[in-house]
Amino acid sequence: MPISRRELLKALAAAGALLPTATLAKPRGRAGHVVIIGGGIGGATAAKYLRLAAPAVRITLIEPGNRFLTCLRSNDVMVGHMKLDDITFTYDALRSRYGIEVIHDRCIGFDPKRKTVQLDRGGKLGYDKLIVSPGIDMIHGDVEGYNREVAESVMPHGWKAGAQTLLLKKQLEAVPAGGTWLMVAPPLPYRCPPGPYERASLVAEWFQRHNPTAKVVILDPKDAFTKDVPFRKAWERLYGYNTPNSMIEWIPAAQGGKVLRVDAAAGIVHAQAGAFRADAINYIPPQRAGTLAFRLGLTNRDGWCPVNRRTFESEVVRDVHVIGDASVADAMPKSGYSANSQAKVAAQAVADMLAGRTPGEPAMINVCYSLVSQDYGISIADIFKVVDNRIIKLPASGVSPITDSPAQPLLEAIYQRNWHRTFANDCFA
Amino acid sequence: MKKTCLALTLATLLCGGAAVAGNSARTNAMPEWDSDQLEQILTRANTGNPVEGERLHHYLYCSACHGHDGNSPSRNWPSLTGQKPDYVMKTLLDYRQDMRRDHYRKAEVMTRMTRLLDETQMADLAAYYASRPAPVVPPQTKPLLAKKGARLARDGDGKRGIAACSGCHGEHGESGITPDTPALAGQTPEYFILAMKMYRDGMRTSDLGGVMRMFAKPLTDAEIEALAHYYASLGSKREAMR
Repeated sequence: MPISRRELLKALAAAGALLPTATLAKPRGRAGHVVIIGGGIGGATAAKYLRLAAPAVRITLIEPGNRFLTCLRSNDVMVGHMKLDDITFTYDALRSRYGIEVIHDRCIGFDPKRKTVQLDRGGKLGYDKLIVSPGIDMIHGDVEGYNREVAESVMPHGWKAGAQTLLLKKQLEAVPAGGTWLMVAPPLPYRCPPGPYERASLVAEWFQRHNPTAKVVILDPKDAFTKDVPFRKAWERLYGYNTPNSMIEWIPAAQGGKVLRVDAAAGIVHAQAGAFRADAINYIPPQRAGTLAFRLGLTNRDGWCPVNRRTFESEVVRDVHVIGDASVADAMPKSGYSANSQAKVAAQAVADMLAGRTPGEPAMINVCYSLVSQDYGISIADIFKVVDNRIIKLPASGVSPITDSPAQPLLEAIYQRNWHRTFANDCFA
Repeated sequence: MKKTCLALTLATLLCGGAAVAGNSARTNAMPEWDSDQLEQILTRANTGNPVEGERLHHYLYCSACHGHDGNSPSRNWPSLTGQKPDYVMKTLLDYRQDMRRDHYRKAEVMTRMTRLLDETQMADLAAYYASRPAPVVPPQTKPLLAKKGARLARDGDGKRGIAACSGCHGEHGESGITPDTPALAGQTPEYFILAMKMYRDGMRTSDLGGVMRMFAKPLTDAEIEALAHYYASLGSKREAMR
């Protein structure tokens, strides 16, 4: 009998629970020094799992911030179901349980020949292997009227959790009765493919309770999006989608969803379909690899980092591995879960290479849960392997089926909350 | 008249549940059953339709955790087959009443799921599980531990005031006569251990009159583990399931 998606997920959850919890002593030998830059989901997971794979290796994590806010569940913060504290994680366990040196500093350059990285305040640091997890940056200025200043004031993206999330929340709460909340969805590739649609859904749910005549408009430069079938079915069930009273209006590229320019002062977005005035505008711009990737010269012409798909070693610079949203990973979406999967593969590959072993054949996973309301979850689960240096999705992958069982979306909503807790622990604890 | 009484009782119980659910503070006193009220609801436990119960078992995704046929494939969750209808029904009501906050945050799944059910559906599910044979002996069962547990289960320990489990749960773990004496034969040992520790440590309060809390109190971790493997070893043999 083929293993079902649900059984697979259960087996994986069980495997996660078996992780060792004992404190690992800080190694002293010359088994090698691995420097990891970027303490997001990718970097934190890589540090922890490298320790599990290579107990004797010295591991240093470079990260400017002393805590990390997950983008995951930041939509819940926006609508008041969670607090920023609930999505904030520290590096304490990486230090105390996994013997990782965490340096709060910024990497401002490196010398790939001498194998050193230059820190802003902390001088030079030598490495045998470098793992970078640069994340994403927004591309400003490709649309007239939109720039960094606009993004930080009247049209927040909310695509990095923290101040942007709170700004978004404030603007949502200020929408007048019967007003319009408008989202400009980004073009592919971008971080968290279902994120915009979950956000629009949770805004609609918030309006149902607090501002029932308000509306959500999504201007989209695409004609389809991940999980769009269960998303739209849920919108029909919850928000009157496809009726004249729909709370959500989705305008795809084919109907003129592409944005041409914005007028920040007037609160107007000009799209191919016409001018849209809104009371709150959430502009999620196109994205590229994080600044760090550019600073280290790891990017290709498209602004992303090409890697060997088996080891995530950069195709541009030797002994540097690039993981997470910034890497070119073909069929894998740019998600926290993907970054976590890739971090484990890279950590094992680095451990193998330092020990003179040939890295094995990776199997990777991505799971994304999205809420359409607090009691209605949908999910996608993908399994990947590498064929001819391309990451391909296996047929066992799948999306939530549409059923008439009231238990199904409710269970997925509950699983989602449990998932965030256990997933964050897998990365940071 | 009797129907009205029952409806009123249910309404009272449900309101109680909702009030508790609305206040999620963990320090809240846990609600406890009034055994007369419970007995009245449980008169419905034996009226269920097992065919409808089997349909609900799949339709409501009970099978996702408790196994395709009610035999749990996981160490995390209990098997339900061979269970008495009134015990299953009581447990579902416990959850709906938010009396099972014990299981850390895992109880949320069952608390939410049981709010989708009415008493007829609960009885149907109960009838389905009761119609199936006891769970198969779990593969992780340890025979040596089971032997140790057998003595304690059958004889208890008079000196320490530990009653024989078999007195209430049946000579072969097939369950007893009161609604809160479940069948234990073939139960997943990890789940058994979790439940017993919850009773022992006073964290599960849905037992009538605190009886299980009292019996479990003197037990050591090792004794609980031995009992778990003993009762697991009393499950159905694989051949018998075919």
